Amino acid sequence: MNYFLHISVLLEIYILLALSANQKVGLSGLLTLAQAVFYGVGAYVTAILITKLGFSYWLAMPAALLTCVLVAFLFSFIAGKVRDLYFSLATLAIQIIFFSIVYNWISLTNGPYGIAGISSPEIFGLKINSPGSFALFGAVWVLFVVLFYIWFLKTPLCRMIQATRDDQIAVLSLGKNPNYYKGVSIIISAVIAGIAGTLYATYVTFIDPSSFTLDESILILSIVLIGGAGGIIGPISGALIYILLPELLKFMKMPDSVAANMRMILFGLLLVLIVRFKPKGIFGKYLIK
Amino acid sequence: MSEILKLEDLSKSFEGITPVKDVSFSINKQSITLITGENGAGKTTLFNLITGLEKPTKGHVHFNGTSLTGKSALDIARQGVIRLYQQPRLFKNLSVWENLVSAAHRNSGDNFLSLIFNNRAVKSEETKLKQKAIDLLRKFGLEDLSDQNAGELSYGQQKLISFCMIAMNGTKLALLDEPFAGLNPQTIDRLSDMIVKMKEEGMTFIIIEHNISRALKISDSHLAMREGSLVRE
Repeated sequence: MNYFLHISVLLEIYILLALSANQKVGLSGLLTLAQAVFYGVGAYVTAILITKLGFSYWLAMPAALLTCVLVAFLFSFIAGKVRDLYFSLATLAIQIIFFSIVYNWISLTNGPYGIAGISSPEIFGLKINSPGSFALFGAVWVLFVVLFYIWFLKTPLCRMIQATRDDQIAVLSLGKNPNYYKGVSIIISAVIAGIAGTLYATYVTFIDPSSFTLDESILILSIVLIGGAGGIIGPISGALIYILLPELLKFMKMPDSVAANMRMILFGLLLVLIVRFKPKGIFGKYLIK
Repeated sequence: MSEILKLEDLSKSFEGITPVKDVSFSINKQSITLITGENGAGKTTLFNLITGLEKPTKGHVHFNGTSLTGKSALDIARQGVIRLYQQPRLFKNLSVWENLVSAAHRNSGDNFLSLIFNNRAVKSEETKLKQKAIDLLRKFGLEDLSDQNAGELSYGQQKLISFCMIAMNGTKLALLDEPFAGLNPQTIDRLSDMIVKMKEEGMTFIIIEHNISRALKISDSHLAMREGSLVRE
């Protein structure tokens, strides 16, 4: 039972990450290679504030999300200056810089040794530290974000974000600022990835730079590619496939050590098949370019 | 009729080339002005200078009595000077009515804080804008396309919709870059009717067009350019 609940927590974290990446990639057309940066900022700021300054989760979490917003301003500035492939390359550079900072700033992040002993959130004196309580806690966040999107996707602002994705010169020609719409989108995406980061740090209670690498950013992007960009169902189904694939392998009596590698092989194969035969992804509304 | 646009000694030079040389003219409100000239005559650069995509080396642009010189493309578009490119630029993953509503000059729902704190007003404005978009489509006989995805429309339909978008935007001065290019005679007739109707309702047009005979039928004045200069007025 605990194992099932543990899988549920991971699934919730990846659903949030996929929805956050979908905001940038699917709704804004900004092909980012640095989604793990916001995930990492959320996790590291939470971990540092809790372990070094004794903050509670409820103080550390808003501070972490605020930091994500500040980093999002940097991304927005870049998105205002460069487009398409150049934006992707700029995010790649930021991803590498972020990893170098958390790996080498040992006095703050403890470098490759990571930060341990991150305390769990508490609600009305009850510690959320069992897989069951955390699965419920994560589910509340996922529900909150999904409800947000059910509302947000129908708003005029989201429509303008998608219009900017389709043709930002047309948006500018109509007297509207495309950088504003891209900026709002990047901030929303950053906050959702930051929430995933705070959840991860307080669930695992230990973080190190290996969770926030370029590989992780590409994995998050692949989840959106497979599930499909532009809606809600696509990113969620992508996360479901990624998390539940190794569980299916267990039914095939495959040992855990083999299943872990097999998961990445199958996931990669699926990605190739999707790109070839269903380029919008399984439930995609928008073709990522 | 009062003057809406005035160009004074407008010039643009770069790397030893002067694509626009001392161009001066003025345009009245509710008029259609045709600009012709061979490729490389400086017509597109002139549009770029008026819309702020390029800064003039010399001279001034006045719109409705205020100077546009030095203003950004965004500021100029916000004043109601809108350019339509030769290729229609629609939001291809949105429906036709969504394209029109997106083109509306003011929409409080574009603002995140308004969405959160003034959602009722946003919804009411959205309903009104959608109705206005559908009315506009009906006026030009395009209401059947309302729910269609803009990316699925034919080239001609996309051009017609892009004209509805400038009408929705409340454009005062529309700069049209080869509006008739690539269209069949029926669609050209339809587009010409739309332009004339919009002019009657208050819009002013400057048109660059190579289909001169067709464009002259709806134009009030004709300017010709050669090697960056105005050669006929």
